[in-house]
Amino acid sequence: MKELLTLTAHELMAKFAAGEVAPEEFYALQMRFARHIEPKVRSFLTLAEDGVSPPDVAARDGALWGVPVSIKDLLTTTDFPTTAGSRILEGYAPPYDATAVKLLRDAGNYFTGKTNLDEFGMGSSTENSAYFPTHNPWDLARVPGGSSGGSAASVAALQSVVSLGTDTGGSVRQPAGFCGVVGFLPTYGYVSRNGLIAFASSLDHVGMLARDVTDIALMMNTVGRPDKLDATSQAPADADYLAEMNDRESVAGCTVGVINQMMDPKLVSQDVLVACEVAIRVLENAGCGVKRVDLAGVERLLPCYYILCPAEASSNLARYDGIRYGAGFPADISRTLQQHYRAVRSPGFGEEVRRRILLGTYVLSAGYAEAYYNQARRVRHAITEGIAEMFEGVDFLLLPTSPTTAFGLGERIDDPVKMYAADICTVTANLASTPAISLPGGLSPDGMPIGIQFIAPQKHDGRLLALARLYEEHAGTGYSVPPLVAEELAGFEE
Amino acid sequence: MEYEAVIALEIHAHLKTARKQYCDCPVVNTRELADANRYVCPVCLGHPGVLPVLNRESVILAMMLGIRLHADIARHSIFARKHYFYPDLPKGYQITQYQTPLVEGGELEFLVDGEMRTAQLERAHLEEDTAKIFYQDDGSILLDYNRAGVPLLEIVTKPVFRSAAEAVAYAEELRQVLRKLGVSDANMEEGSFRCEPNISVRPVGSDELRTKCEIKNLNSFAVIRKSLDAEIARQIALYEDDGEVQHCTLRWDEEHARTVPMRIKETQADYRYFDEPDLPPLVLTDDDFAEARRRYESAMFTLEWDGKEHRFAPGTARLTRFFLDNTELRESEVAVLLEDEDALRLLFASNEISGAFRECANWVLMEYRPRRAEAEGNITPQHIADIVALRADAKLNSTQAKEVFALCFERGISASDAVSELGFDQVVSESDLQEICAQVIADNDKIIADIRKGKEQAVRALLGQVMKLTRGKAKPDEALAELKRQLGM
Repeated sequence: MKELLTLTAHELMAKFAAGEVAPEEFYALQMRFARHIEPKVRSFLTLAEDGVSPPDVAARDGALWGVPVSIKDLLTTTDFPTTAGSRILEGYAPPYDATAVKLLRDAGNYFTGKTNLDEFGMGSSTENSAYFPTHNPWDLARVPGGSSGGSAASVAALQSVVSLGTDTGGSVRQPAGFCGVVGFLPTYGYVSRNGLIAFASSLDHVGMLARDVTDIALMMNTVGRPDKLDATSQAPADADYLAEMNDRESVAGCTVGVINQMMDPKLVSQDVLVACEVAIRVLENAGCGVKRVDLAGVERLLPCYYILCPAEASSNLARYDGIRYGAGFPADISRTLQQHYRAVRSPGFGEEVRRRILLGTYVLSAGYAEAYYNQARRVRHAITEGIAEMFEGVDFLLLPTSPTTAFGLGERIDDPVKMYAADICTVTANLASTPAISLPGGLSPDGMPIGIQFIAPQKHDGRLLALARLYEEHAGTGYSVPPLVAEELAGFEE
Repeated sequence: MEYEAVIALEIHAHLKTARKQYCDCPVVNTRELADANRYVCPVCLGHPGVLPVLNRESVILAMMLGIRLHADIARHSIFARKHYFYPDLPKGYQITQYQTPLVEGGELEFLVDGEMRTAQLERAHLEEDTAKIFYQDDGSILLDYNRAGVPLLEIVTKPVFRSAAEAVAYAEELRQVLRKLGVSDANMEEGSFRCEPNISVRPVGSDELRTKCEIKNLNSFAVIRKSLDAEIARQIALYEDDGEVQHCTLRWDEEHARTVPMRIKETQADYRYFDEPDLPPLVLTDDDFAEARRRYESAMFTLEWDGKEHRFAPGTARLTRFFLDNTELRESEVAVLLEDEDALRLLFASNEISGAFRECANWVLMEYRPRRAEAEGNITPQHIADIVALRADAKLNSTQAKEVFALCFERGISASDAVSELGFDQVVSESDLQEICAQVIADNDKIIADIRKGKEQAVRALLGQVMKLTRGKAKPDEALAELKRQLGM
């Protein structure tokens, strides 16, 4: 039965429907294998215990009924502690479920646990987790990417069929690319942020990871719903992403723009460039037009992103003061207020989080806000307009998900600027609030997955999935079980 | 040198909404520690991952005040985060409006010693309240988040007041306006109306704005007035001594009757404002304007006077002026009536029937209001008009009239039914009067003796007894004539 673990969600649901395996049976198997391989990969901060309450059978119509889902530990859950990968929230038990979590729960999904991440989503390698790093299932000496590294590893390593992640500057797509799975960033406001522990609110999206595009559409059908608890929610109430994905007409003869500046050999490694050129030919063979386009101001993308996001982070993380919950609670009243804040916040936050709080506080301060924060907002506005203008000439954009394949654990951790550079290809979609998707685009000569990224105009999520499905069919480079995982599976005794 | 004060007021008023500003928690003003933290949720406690959702009712209420002040109401305004660390601030920032307030400019008329003045306003914007802090005797500090997230309207004037009396008169008027609009309970003791003046002084004739000081935590109008007067004196004394006023926040020290610094503001606090990314811009629709306008108009005060309908914007200054100009009411009486709309309406309705305004006013002020403090009662304008008429026709003396009023109040029966039930309509027959007078004369040997000795005024004492025995129904002149006849005077 263990070969079932390699299936996608929709294949698995067909087995459920045919009565070949019961969801609870599969879930038990899923959890046994997840635990079996966990010491190698370390995807989870919290793995579900045996005997968690089964999903509500009444919800049998749920798009993903009975499918085990892992959840990034930046989304609140009432049945698992939620840490955001931080010491400051160690043992924190949220009083409510994130909206996306609740929608999955109501649709009858099993949860496998809470996945590891860079603290508060701040990082591109999952090495900034306050607890431990996660390993790439393709090469345990490399990072899985970040910040949703645990989510990506859990899907690639067969510990979960799909996963809920979050993406502020690439945190779903980049680890999906590094781990050889599909990662989707919906349009801003298409999945409720309620319960997404805020990092940079105007850039934060809930996203999802799966083994193919169809599973992404099914996830979107469950979680891509309007929410009264999120004032920025703008999801269409009755969208059917599966139907939109299957609407080939919507992408027949479409034009895909390839951003020249993102294909610059100075920026992007040779392996990745080759994979992108292959992807371009795949699209041409599938009947798409391809056009080379220029994106102005590429050199401003990272500075803009790395001003706005620490600024918002410094504000969002101000609430962690140990007064109502979290580390430091209840407060020791023998300390002065200053001493209390220092005692809670200094050890509570890791180095990268402290760096961004300091940066963010600085760029928002009187006298500096104009030169940094306000300037960055204007740049963001210009980038958004530039992207919108590009979409007047093309239907989609193609670019790598990352300039390189997964780098080694420890390789960049001491060089934040080099670490930030890994985000150059992904921040554009967040800055422009557009949907984007990363798809497996084959392996590098050294056997590491390469991610191919597509971006669509705002609110064209369904059409983006249609293009992604078209590519997936023609590329033939979809998810494959990493050799190391296949080995573990072979040795796994049910 | 002669100095004048330059005062601006910053007033925080709780908006009268059922729910908090950014979450669904009910707004309940609890006082007891035992009730602390009953009306809280993850949103107003600032839990990880929560998002604010704007309470539209607070917007409509703020718009109503904007209409009242003839201010500009922004069709498009944005929210901002104002950052500082304090335990009463759950998120580490307050969601407020910074660059684009909902209400901008405007003015409010108010009366000082019967004279109409106008205060110019700077702005009014929406924000949220903080938690309450309880400092315990054992040194512990307790936090009550029931108040955290309660909708606040911050209403700021330009530096337009030249004396404590002016500032207080404006604040009193604004409080009335908020109450009459139904926008706020505006109760100072309960903290739903908090007034923070800032003050500087300058030589009379100058138009400079000198360094100002703020006074916080003032919980009554009397304290505002005292603290402003003391602060004005303190600043003048400093300048007279060739000193400088330092920008600071002060509090009122009641014991020593002086303002004392809370903390020196050497530099402007850096609140690191930026636009709230969790709330889209507040865009007002025509429907919002229509609703605010409709609710504003239904809060206007309508009065029948001289057969004409008069409409007054919610507030007291204009109404007071109208009463002083058109009626015989004194300013203190107007103040009482404007606080008591039932009484005011009763007075005007009675007057519409009776036309005797002053008499109606006396009944409303002296008889109706004290009784209504005890019980609801059943008094209608017709009762008051009828009783006034009975008195004018001398059908009742004042004691009888009060008894009739009391009965009407208690049972709601008509004045004429009350008069007959009390027997005040029966006339004493001539024979009865003769008999009663004879009896009074027979029972009062001592008084008779006095009269015989030439103290003729003593006959008045006998008259009093006759009136008492007839329960006031005898006509005093007839009774006096009969007594004199029997006594042979």
